[in-house]
Amino acid sequence: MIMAAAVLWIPLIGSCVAGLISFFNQRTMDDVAKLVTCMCMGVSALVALDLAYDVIIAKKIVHGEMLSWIPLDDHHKITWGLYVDSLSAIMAAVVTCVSFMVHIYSLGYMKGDKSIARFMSYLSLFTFFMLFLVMSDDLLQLFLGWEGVGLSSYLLIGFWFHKDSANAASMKAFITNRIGDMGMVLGIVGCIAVFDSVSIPEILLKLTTFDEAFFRLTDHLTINAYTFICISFLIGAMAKSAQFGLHVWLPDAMEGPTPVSALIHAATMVTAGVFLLIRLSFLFEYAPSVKTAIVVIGAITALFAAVVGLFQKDIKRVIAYSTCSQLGYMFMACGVSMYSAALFHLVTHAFFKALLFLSAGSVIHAMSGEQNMRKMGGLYKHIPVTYALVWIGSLALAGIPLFAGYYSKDWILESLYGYAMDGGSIIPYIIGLSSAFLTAFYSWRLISLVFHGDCKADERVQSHIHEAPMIMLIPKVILAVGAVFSGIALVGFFTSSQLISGAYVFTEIEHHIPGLIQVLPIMVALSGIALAVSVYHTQRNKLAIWLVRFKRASAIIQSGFAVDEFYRKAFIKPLQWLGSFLYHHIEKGLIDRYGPNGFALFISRLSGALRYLQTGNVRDYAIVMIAGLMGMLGYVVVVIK
Amino acid sequence: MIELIKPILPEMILFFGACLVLLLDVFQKFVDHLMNLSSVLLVLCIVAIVLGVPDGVYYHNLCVISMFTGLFKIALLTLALFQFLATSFLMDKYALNKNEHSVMVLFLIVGACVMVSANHLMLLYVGMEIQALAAYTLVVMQRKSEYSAEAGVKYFILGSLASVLYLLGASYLYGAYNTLYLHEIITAIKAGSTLGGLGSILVVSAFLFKVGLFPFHQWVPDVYQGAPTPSTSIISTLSKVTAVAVVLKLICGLFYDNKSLDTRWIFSAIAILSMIVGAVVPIVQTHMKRFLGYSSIGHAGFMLMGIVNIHVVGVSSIIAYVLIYSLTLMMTLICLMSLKDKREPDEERNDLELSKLGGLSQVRPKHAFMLAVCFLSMAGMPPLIGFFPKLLILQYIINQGQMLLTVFAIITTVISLFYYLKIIKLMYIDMPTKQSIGISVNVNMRLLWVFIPAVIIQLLGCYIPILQTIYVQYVTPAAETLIIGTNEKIYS
Repeated sequence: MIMAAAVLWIPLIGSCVAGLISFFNQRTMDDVAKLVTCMCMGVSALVALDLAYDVIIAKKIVHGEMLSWIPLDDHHKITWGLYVDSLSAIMAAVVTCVSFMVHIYSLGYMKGDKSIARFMSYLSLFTFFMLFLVMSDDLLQLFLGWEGVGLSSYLLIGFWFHKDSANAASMKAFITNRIGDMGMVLGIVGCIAVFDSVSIPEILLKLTTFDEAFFRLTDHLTINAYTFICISFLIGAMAKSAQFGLHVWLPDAMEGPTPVSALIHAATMVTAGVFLLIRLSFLFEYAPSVKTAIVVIGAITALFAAVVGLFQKDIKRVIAYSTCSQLGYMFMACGVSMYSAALFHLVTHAFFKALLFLSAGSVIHAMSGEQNMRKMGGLYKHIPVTYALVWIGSLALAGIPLFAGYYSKDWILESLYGYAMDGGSIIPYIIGLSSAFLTAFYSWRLISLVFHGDCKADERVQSHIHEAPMIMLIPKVILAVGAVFSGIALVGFFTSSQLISGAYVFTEIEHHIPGLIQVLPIMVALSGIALAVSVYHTQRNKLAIWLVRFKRASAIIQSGFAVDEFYRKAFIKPLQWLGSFLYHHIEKGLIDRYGPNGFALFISRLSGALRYLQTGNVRDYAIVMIAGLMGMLGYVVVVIK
Repeated sequence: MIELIKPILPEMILFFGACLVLLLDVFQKFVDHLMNLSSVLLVLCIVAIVLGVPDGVYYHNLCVISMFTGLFKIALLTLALFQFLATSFLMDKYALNKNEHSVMVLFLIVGACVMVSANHLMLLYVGMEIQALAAYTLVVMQRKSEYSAEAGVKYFILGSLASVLYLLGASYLYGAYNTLYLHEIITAIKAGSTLGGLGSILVVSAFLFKVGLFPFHQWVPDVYQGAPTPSTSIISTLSKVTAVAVVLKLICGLFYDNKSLDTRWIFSAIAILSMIVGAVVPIVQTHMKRFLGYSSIGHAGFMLMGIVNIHVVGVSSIIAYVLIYSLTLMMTLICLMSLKDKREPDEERNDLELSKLGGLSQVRPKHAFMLAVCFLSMAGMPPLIGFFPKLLILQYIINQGQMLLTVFAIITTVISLFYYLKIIKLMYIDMPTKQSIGISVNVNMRLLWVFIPAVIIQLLGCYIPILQTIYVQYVTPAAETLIIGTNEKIYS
């Protein structure tokens, strides 16, 4: 319990210290802020690893109350509690480790930024809220962490607030996430309605006593309560995990500093949605239709993001869409009840995606801030270490054997095959394979464009190209170790049964997988790599001709199938029109004009009119007096008598 | 001998004391100390009332001494004492003889005390005239100012008209019931007669004039503006408190439990129209005292709501309202008086233009703060004491189910809040302009001896128990004596 609390609260201490230094604008104290945040994060990461070891090996659950929060009555009280099972422990370990690496990397990347203390404070706060989310024992507390993560991401994406695009991107992320938050709220309210509780262990206990529950919408229309709750939570998870439809904020979030992107994509933000699905897996098992929806959404996202990723020019956007696509895999795994596989992919993905992002940061650093891949090329000579690390990360991402991504992705694809064999559709499996192919292709497209060929940058930039300093390399090397070995080291552990202790116990069916199917993902990945290499090294001219021929199509794909444009036309424009109409015609034209302003005008006119009664002439005063008196006497005479 | 004059000892002290002050004024030697002598007289008078005769009727039913009369007399004397103590060092700035001024105030209080305790319509009239003559004199005290004279003449003519109405009403009542004793009229009027009804309305109208209620309100702004500020302060508080006391006495007597004479609609209409005038017209005023005059019409209307349905709670609410409002208004006027730097009689009419207050908080923060506290209190902002009487009256009329009155009361209160806040904005947010008052020439530390107690009194609202104690122990019993006093029990 104390260890769990330490993991949770130590990053907040670091954040507060750095925040205070930033608040009082003590530039000379910047070093203190850096040191404190990194040390806090390091301590937290070490304790989290120890905690994970304890929880997983000893198979015990840490569960305790910290403080009373909303005491309603004896049976309904909401408390601040900690709940650490193997799922939380693994999440906490991954989050703190990746976050620690990102913290160290930021020291180098953000060197010279005048508000680095603020940046470090936000990073630690972000981590704290994510830990708060994964360690909470009830939905309300989880929701607080959920909102805190949203808030921190807003602060970090808009860190360079003097840039308009950064402000717009941070707001986009925040507003898109509001939709998911609404889903979360509905889900929590649904849980309160059905289970009379928000505590996750309590809901799990009560679930067995409720076979079916319904929400009555009208007299004739009812909805299955579990379906409703699960759909609500699914919407929440979709927004946080950037699934198709609510993914629009993720590419734009690249406006933030690169370490932020790494943190968002690897550990703290987008994994929250997948975490929610795994945490509430017992509920989703009661809503099979929602599970199918999860598979469909995951499949669409995986394929869509991979295709869009092919056409991106910006190095960070390629990796961003790749994240989107990998999250699709995790959703598909959740949809076919392979929660362990989803969690496993989440862990391995955290390592290689953080590695890729930090490497991309190094490339951008080397290129003096240039992010357009078309203006890069031939960098492998200048920054060999980064080159090697990008290779490792890409191999892991593509799922080449021995690298981390292979084990988790292969497992997911096998599960999808098993799903097809059990009577489900084969399409998810096919989409998974195609996405794997595309993943390999765009990864090597990135490598070819950035590191090979001729450098297309101008002289000034070229003369500046240099390898990143040690402080940026060391975290990457550590992450690379994770990207290589985390798969092979953890595969046995994840495939062992009953990983998600305390949760619904699934019968994870062992399928007989034909040899061909086992080899197929590797073949697909290798062919993707081969195709990319051949296209970008030998057939470049042909590619250019093809791109010109299908200019319109490629432009649409590059813009992410014009989803943004569609939203702009379908929602934003009409809403703006409605807002402007309500403001000008209803608020100003009707309510203000005849309400407050009209009344004020009436009073001032009345005031002006009554003023004329005060002539200053005594005769008039006397007349008014006598007239009033006559009225009163007349009333007495006529009415009363 | 002493037993004979004991019931009217307070009035005697004031009357002979005032004469003494007048005489001593002739000798230049004592000039500077006479105001202190007046203050001593007021204190003596309070002591005489507190230690005075037991409650009852004296001089063949001519004079009543009760909790009610005692409360009002002490209130009058305390207000006057407050004014004397606070303004003794300010009076030199005005072109008037300050000793004559204090003598007139003392005579005014004599008249007021006679009115409060009178039980006979002619005695009441005598008191009213003593009080009114003193008031007219106070208004024209600034002899060389034509504005002062204009206001005095207006006040005198219209006041005479009110006296005429009163005498007409009194003669009607005498014609109807063959008596001028109030308690006998009260007993007789229950039988009902048109002549008696007309007479009672006429008699009450004369005092509605003194309170300044619609449609007898038009003298108020003119007189407030024209009179020198110390006189305005006396007229707007002492005269008003007296008039309210008499109105309460008459209405509770004549209309309480009177099936034949249902005057609720008359008083509702007067209250509503007064509140509208008091809420709407001040918005366009540019002179401070005129503004206060109009707003006092609104306050008078607000008070009158408490007596539309006659009940102890309503009467005690009105007593609380008039006392607290008068105190606040007096504080405001004293504060305005202390803004004056030097003697400039010719500009008397313009010396309190609202534009002069622009940016006051920057040049004279103490004054601005004091004025802001007073205005907020008059607007009825908790926790200042002005909030509580408003609350009491609103609570009372809501309990009585007077929804029409409630709606108007609330709307007009909101509007009045606007113009009070407008002045606070003028003082605190606007910048000083050319017309604004400059930084004080001679900083007078004695001012703080006035301001600090004034602010403390205003902030008494933060400590409700003390207000509650006063209300329960003194105000409510006073109201009860008034209602119960209408029974014949205490009369021999």
